[in-house]
Amino acid sequence: MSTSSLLLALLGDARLPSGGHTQSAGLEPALRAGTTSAEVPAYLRTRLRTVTRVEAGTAVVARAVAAGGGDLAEVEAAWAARTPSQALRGNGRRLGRGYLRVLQTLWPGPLDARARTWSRPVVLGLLAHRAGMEPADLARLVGYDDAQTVAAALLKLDPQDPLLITAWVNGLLPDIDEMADQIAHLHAPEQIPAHGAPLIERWAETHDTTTERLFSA
Amino acid sequence: MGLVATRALLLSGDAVRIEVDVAPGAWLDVVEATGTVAYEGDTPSSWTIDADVGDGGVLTWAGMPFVVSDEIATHRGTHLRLHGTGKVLMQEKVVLGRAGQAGGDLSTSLDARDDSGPLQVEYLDLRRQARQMPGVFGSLRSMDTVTALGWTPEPFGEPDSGSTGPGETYFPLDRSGAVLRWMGIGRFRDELCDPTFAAWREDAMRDYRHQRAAQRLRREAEPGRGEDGHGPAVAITAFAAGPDRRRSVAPSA
Repeated sequence: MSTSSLLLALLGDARLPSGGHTQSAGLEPALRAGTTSAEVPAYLRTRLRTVTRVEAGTAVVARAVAAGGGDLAEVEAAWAARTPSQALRGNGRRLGRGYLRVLQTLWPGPLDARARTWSRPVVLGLLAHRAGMEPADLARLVGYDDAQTVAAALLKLDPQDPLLITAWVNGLLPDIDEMADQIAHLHAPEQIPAHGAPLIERWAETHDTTTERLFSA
Repeated sequence: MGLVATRALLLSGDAVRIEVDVAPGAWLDVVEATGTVAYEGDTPSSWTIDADVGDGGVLTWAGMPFVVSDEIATHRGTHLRLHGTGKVLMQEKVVLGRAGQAGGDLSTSLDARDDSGPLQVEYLDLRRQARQMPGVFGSLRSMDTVTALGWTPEPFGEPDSGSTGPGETYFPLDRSGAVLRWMGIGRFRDELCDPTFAAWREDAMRDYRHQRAAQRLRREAEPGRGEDGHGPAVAITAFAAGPDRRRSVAPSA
């Protein structure tokens, strides 16, 4: 079995109505804290090694647990224990509800009563299970979506040549593939990576109390 | 209980491991007498804490600065298991580099769980290359983290939210727990972590005393029951293994 490449395109498309337009993947507070546009490629790599790796690992494990008929609440608990920022947990769970609508409209099925409180990677794992997506492709999707979220937000926060930014994302694709290959085999909640990024977490909390902002996180 | 290093610590190749077992209903304060320097060398060193806290027990651990010299790779690992209403309060201070140094490679891991699942799991890669990346640690050099597990204390004082790097952040965890983390450029200039540790410790001890008082009342109401203690209330074991020598970390009560 291999994932349909059109399915990947559909889910990785910014036009997917899942709430992605509200997100900057932490870029807005990072710029406010003094990160420069030139540092954005390095910022993308930071995320891929830390918070995005946790996100992708959670999605891959949720997919495996859903496939085995296990309890996704345990995966949600593992993700939450690896996400110290309350702001990021709240944001992940709001996004989860957006993906739940995508899931129940495109791949309807019976749903746990607690699913409305689950974060995006857990819902995405369930979606991948129902839609027949391979674990490595699911991890790729999470990595790619995160990079494109930063790229799209940069165009609004600090407008510049969109092709230059697209080239940055393109340059990151091998790193996304590498991350995906490293975590695709994970299947149990305790195996989910726990790589933290202290400044990203601090900035997320500060951003949450800021009134003048373009993106919710 | 004071933790006193009786010989030089932490040399290249040293693997210190401290096991703590707090019995149900017992209370233990661990105090480090001095800071610890992870000295330079070719072989990595490590400092591992493994603690179990029984139902109704309290473990507090006031860590002193852990200084990572240039030219060493060192790891700090913490494994905590809480049972029932057990509580843990820990303070961890790390500094990258001795005077005039940028500091070597540090990684830290925390794995804390209670009877119903994980409370906090964190791995920080603060090796030289990784930590300089935007969003990890930037140009900061020190970090002071106060972690409460088993209950969620309110923030003490007003954490300086700030928009840049230095300053402190209060993180209420998803389940029972809270973290106050300060990050800064040089020496420990944070003014909130030490008082927060003291306030949260007082918080934990107030609950502990209430629980003990309630237990005492129950025992008096049922005179046949006697003390429920069996075996030592607290056990602390420290091992330090070096490549070619043996030494000890002596717990001094």
